[in-house]
Amino acid sequence: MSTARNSKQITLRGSAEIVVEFFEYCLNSILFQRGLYPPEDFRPVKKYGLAMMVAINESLNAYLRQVLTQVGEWITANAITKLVMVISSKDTREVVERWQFNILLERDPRTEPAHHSSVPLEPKSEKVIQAEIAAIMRQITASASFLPLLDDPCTFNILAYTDKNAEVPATWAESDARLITRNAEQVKLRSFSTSVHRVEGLVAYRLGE
Amino acid sequence: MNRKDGDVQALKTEKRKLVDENLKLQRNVLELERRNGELQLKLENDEKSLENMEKNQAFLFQRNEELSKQLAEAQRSRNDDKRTIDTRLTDLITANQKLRDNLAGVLEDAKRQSAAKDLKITELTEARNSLTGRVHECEKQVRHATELAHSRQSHVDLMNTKLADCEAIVRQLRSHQNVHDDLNTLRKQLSEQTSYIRKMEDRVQKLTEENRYYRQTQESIDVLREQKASQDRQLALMDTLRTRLATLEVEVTTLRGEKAQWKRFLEDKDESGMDSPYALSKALARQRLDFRIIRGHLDEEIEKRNRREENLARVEEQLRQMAKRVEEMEAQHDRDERTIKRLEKSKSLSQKETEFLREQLRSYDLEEVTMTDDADTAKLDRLARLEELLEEHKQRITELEQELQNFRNTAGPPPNQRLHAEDVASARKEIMEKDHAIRALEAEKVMLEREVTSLDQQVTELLADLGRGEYNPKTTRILQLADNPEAAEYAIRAATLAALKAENDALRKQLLEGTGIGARLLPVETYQALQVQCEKLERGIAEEAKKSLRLREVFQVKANEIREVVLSLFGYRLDIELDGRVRLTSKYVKPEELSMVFNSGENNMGTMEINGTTSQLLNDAREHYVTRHESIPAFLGFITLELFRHLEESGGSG
Repeated sequence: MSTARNSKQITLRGSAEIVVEFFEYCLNSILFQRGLYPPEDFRPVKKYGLAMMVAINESLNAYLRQVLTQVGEWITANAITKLVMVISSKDTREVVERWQFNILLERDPRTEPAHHSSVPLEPKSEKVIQAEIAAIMRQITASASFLPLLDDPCTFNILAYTDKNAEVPATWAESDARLITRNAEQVKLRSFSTSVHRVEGLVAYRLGE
Repeated sequence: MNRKDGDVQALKTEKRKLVDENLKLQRNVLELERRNGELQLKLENDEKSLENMEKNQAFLFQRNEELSKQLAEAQRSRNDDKRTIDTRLTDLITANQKLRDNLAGVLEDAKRQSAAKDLKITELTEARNSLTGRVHECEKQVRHATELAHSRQSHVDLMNTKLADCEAIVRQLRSHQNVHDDLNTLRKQLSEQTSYIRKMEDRVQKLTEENRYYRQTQESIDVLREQKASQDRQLALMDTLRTRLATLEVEVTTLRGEKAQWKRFLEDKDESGMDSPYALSKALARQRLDFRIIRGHLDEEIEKRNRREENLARVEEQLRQMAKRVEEMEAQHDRDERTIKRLEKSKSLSQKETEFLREQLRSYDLEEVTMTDDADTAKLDRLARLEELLEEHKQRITELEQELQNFRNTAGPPPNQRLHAEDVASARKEIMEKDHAIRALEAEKVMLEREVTSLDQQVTELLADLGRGEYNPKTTRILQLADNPEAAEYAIRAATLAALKAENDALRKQLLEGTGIGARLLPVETYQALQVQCEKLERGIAEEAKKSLRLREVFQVKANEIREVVLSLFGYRLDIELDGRVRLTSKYVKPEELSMVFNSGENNMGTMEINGTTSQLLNDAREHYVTRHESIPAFLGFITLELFRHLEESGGSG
């Protein structure tokens, strides 16, 4: 992280770390906001200039850590295009919400150094990136106002849309897309960019009967 | 002879003149015919252009009618929309009226409730007044008892002083042995005084007991005063609460009405396909958007119509100018025709004159025949030449007439007019081509607009698909961690389900077998299912216990933090005792010296007990801050300041 932050031009790994850190806080925030775990399973921490809620449930933290470590490696290898958090009903297994984050590589510093780039990008300061991330976090917090209440008990799963040729550890398995089958609506969230990666958010949800 | 020669000469001159005039007339005729041809051609062209203009006018009129129809249709749809909106507005006004009626009902209820509350307040005020009267009486009694106690105490002090004096006298008398009798007397007096003192001490004892009783009464009076103060506060809060209550009742009624409306709306089965407020809002927003788009189209159509009307007006203006020019040309044509007729008349007159002259010449010939003897051969020759000349002229006239006829049959318009017609034709052709091109471009534009709309729709659909999570399976695959919360949850459910199924099967089997050896025994599957359930419940209990422990720890930590914060910021140590009372101890004094115990009762009432050494200053402060101004924080602040000042004066510091 320090290499990414201290140097003027952000590196690929530094950018991947920023994105993974964003996912960590973002997923925690969604789990808290959507009430998938009780509020006492979270503690507040100061991040991005906001009071973010972070899980203290050990099994949940272990799961998130395992997922995000692998996601970080895929981001560095440019082998992932989407990260999706699927919220489904425990009773019916029906998908009720999909929080989708598209990961786009804007510039590959390995193959296209900044001074050789045809369109030189202005390196983004940490403050600007954090401000953009904070805007997304605020939007996630505000999304509780328009998203339908999760009346039934729900659980979640994290899906990674990877390249066909990406290296996959044995602990990972293939899954279907877990789409919302009926009454689907979607709202596009803000995006942020590290000047290497751009992350675009979108939440799709199922309206009530 | 000479006269005859002169006549012949004159005739020849006349003949030459006639020939010249004839030529001139023929030229005029030709010129007039040419002009006539030109005018006819021009007339034909004008008629053609008039026809084209009429066609254009008919086309434009048709277009105008089409546009008017479109406009009427758009206006009709707009009127329909407006009518729908008006209907909805009327519904909303009706709903609003109902809500107003409900509001009026609610207000009446609120007034009734307010009157009841006022009555209750009056009762409470009366109770308060009676309590205040009792408190005053108790205060008077206490004051009287205190005064009595003070006077008795002073009396006791006085008696003690006297006793001390007597003892001094006794000591003095003991020192003087010689006054034995006086001593006896004094002893007697002393015993009397002692008995009196005992009596007084008994009385003091009684008074002390009485005083203690009154102190206890004073405590209860304090409690009553506190209760009175809290009731006063409660009364003061009643107004706010009443207002709040009224507001909340109105809100509740409004919300109930709204809920009922929504319920009715949602219960009504309609064909709109809107089954939620969100869908309704969405549909409304979509309709508004459509309405705006239609209005935009309507504005564009109106603009196009205006432009076409302008074009039409311009074309009509051109048409009027052309008609005027045609009229002018017709007038010119009439004038030319009149000129031609006049010229034809003059031509026939000239012909008649020529005939006359010919007749005269023939008479001359006859005269010459009759006078053959005197004939002059030279003259005859001349006459013969003149006749030949005349014949030549006639022939020439015939040829010219023939040429004129041929020319009339074959000749087209004159070059300059032909050029003009070509220009007009090319311009017209160009205009028509341009019109065609414009029409083609407009058609292409419409097609492109349709294409853009369909592409937009396609893009929206594709975005929606992407939003739904669609992907290309050839290049992408979706992965999940095998051990994920969802899978764990479903594994538990599957295990429970499997156990229940097995149990169910076993029970069914047992039921079918009837009275077997193990019929009354519990199937092992039931036991296993119960075990699974038990494990699940134990896990849940462990989770809950963990949660509870965590909460307790957090609560303990937070409570300590709050106590430390209160101690450092407000200077009071806060202890909650087992019976729920709160003890406050200042950080500037030892707990045994001064502490306050607060007990909260029902209806936001409470009591304050001051333990430790109290002073008049403290009592005055309590009277001032707590009793009069009902502010415990101010009282506590006063104590803190006083203790801090005292500590500072004694040389210590916090």
